[in-house]
Amino acid sequence: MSMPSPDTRHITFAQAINEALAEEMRRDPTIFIMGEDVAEAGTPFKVLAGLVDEFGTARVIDTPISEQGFCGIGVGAAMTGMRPVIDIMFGDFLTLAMDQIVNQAAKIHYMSGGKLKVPIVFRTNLGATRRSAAQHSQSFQAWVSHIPGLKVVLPTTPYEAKGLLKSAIRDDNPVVFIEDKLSFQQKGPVPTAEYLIPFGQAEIKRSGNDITLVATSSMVDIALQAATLLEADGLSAEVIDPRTTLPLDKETIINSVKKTSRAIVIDEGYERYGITAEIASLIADEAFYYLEAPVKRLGAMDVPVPFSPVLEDLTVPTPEKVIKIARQLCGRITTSLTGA
Amino acid sequence: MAKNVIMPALGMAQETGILLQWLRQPGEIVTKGEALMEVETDKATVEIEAPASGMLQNVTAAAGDEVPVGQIIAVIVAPGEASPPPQASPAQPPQIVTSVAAGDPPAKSPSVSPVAARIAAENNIDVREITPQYGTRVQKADVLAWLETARVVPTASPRVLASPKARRLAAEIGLDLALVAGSGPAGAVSAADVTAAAAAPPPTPAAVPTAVDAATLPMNNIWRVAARRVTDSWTTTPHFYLNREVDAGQLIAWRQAAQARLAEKITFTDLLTKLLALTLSQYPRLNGMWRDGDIVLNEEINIGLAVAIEAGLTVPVIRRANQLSLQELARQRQTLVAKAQAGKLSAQELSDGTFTISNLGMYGIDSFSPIINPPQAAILAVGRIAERVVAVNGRPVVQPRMALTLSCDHRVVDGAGGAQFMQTLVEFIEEPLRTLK
Amino acid sequence: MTQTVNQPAVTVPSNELEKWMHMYQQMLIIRLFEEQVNELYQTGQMPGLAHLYSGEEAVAVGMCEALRHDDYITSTHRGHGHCLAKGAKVDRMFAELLGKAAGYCRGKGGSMHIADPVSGNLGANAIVGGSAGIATGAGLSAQQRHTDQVAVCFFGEGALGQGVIYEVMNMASLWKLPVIYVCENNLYSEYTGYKEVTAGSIVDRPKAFGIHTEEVDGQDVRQVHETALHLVEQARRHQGPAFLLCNTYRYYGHHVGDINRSYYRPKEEEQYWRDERDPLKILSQWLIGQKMAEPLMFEQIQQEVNQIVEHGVRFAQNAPYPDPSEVSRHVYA
Repeated sequence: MSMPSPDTRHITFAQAINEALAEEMRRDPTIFIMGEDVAEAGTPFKVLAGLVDEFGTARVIDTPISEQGFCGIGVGAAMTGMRPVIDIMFGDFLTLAMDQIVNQAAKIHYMSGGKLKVPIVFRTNLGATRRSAAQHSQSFQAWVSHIPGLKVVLPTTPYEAKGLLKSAIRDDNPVVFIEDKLSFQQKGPVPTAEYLIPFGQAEIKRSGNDITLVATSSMVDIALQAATLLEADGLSAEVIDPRTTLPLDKETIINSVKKTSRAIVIDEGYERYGITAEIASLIADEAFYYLEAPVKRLGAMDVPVPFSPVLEDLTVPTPEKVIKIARQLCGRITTSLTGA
Repeated sequence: MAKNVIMPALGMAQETGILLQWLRQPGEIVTKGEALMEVETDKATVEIEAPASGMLQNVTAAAGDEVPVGQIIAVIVAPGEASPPPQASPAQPPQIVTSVAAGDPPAKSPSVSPVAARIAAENNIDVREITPQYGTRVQKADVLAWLETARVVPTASPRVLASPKARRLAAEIGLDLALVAGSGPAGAVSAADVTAAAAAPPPTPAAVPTAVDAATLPMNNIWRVAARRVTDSWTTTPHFYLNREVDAGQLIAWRQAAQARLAEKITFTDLLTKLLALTLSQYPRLNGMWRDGDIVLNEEINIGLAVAIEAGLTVPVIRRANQLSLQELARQRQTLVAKAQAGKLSAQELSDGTFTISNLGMYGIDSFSPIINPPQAAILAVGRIAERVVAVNGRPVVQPRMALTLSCDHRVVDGAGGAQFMQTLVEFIEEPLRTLK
Repeated sequence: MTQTVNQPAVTVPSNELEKWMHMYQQMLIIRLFEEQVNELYQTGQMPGLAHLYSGEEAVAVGMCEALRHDDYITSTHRGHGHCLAKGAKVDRMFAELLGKAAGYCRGKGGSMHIADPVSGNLGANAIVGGSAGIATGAGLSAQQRHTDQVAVCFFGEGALGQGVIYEVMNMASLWKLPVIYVCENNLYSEYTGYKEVTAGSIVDRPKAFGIHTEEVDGQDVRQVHETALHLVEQARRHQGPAFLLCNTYRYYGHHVGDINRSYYRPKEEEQYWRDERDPLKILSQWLIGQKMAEPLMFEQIQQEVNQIVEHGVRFAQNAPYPDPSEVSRHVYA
């Protein structure tokens, strides 16, 4: 991993988000935070804890439970000189604000012939296995990645969370910034000095020669675990984290697949019509004559997320599922691939 | 544009072919698709079609010449085109040859009844794909049976399974993927298979492999080894032959009944394999072998099927045939034959046979004396089923009859042992219900 | 008059007559603009559809004449009147409607999306109620930036069916945002009489949020304007949002193609509003009755406006279409 400064500390993902917001709000008075329970509560995940103490309730604004309303207000504020960071408590609630995000924020710059801009960040989250059942566990990055005019960021580590959020806040476009709920307490090295991570640059999380695992957000760790397990088979897996799905760093993905000739795409969104389908299609289009095996996909099972832990755990990609497919693609299992 | 006539690769890892004769002479006008020459490879003699229409020129190989696969032996010049200068034969490994006949069997016009031809035409069937049940003439029943099978089990396309990368590499270096054994998922040819095949040393016909080499030679030399072993067999195995003629009436009835019940196409070979496996389980010596002065009895009954493909003869093996249902036997036979025709049999599918059955009935052969497939102890030859007049209880009766010939290695089996085996087999054939006992 | 002299208003009338004659002209521009749009549609010269504002001119003009140049408005699918009243030019409006590069949105927005930030117009919106959040956000923005700008959210009574209106009014009231919600009740939610789809009282809804609410005759520009001045001043002084219900009428159908309307409203009703309740007639008759103006003055204005509209159409018809490269420009800033 590239690390711009040797001067680093280990902080949690939540702290990295908090730092990014605090630094940007100190730098630019037009930035404010708005959402449900963002001020004194600091969100249910405590990601924003303490920000209201420094910036006050005028810039860390608790809203009623009105996702469409406060997202729309954010859009209007963004069009008139502010840079709001909107907190959508659960990724599932994106659905409530879809008109404001899709029909308003994403289109206003284009519809106005470039005259109006909407520099807004919608911070939300993804991921199952928190035993939160069907309406608090979904991963909607595919929904928003479908929309021209939006940018979609999926940070994986604390380092990326901070660098990408600062870039998102400074971007003049609407950005949907989706965090993995399970990573909030994960620690990682973060430089003391200021840094930004540009959009559209994938990160090679691990180098390998036999198979490429393209994984997003929560699935990067699954892919890395699988890569370690595959070493026992003598298979060396390369793990690519796109970090932003819109814009997407096609080049890094294609170059990796050209090298390894095999690919599995892993994302926690529903598998059908998802992020994985888009990236698999990209690989089939642009690296077809370098492929040794069909491009395979792994996403959440196409069912509403069940509550019972026994059932819920079945719905998400696991390292075991990844290595099973990887072995098949690499000819280590002769089972038919069509049913994989 | 002038089209090269090359010595085609007609079998897996075939390295040379013998030009038996030109069917057209230099200077003659030939038509694309008509028989141009006769080539012998391994065990097969094949008529090779003209790859283009035009005048046959620059003929460099004469009858009797053994020519490396891929070598240009003539050109066909389109009318009005200048004859190209004679070309040196490209020094290429055999795999780099584009086979003239690959996937395009010699156009032997089969004998077809008018009704069969009409039905075939209506259903867009190539009659050359149909094997007649009786004799060599394709009849209406053959076409209808073929249609029935085709409806239930669509015939698998012989398209070679290969990764896109392997296809690109093969195209770049001019390699025919059909000649490459696949090691990838589902047996697909991978890029590594292509590069290995391309890197394989060019054929050196003078270098006869030693016996030590034979045991460890890679798969693409299996045919050469097999050929030598057959030669060894013929020169070292004391063969003797037992002939029986059987009433095939029950066999025909059984086949019809089984076909009505099963989706898989059921052949007489399937039924005979089933009966043979059962008989072998009662006569272990026939399932044994001669090894270094000892008689070795095999635990498994693995029956090899002599399969004729354009390139010659190949013997894929149905393992543990005595443990398989008729349906499973038919399924495996179908898969193996399809793979044999596509040149895609693996080394495993060609090895460990303990007994071989060779059926030339579909070619109209009444009976024949086969060479034992070493180290096996025996091989059964099956002739055609034909109606003959036989005396039953002193009266002439017309019966469908079939001739069986058992070739035995006298070092493993004696005449009486072989005869008892044949007696049991004939009883099973004439009364398949006995197998239930 | 409470307007501050040193602030950049759209127009600073020197006396009562000039003020009302200016509003008459503004209303007439909208009226003739819309009639021209209808003709462009009916003669097949305009792509797509348009929703005409004819009959409702007093609402847009009365309201916008109470605003400063740097105040904000958001508009609706029936938005030409709001855009013109807030300062948009006829020629570039026509150009946008014809999909020309010289249009306010380079031809990429069209009739339902005209935006002109220079005149404070944050855009017409084709989602019913879709701009309620934007207008309220503009109010929040003004509050955050410590300006005294005001945001006006125009919407039809049909938008009262959208929940987002109530979400944002709740927040505007809580946070005392300088937003005026202007509800134009033209009696028809698309093809349905509003009473069939609107329960209870309209004005009770904003009142429930503690929002200052007024109801006026939307055909009388003087009444609209005088109420608007009061509400705008209140918002400018950080006294919170307001709701203004304007009772009005649309002369044409839901859109230019909605010709056969007898199944939802009688012709007699349309004729009544045109004859008895026309905002241009109401203002001119009042001015003549007050002996402030003579009929000839209105004829002069009519000729001027005719020229403006004719010139505007010609400009738009002669203007080039956007370059094909425009299709992928402005997706991202």
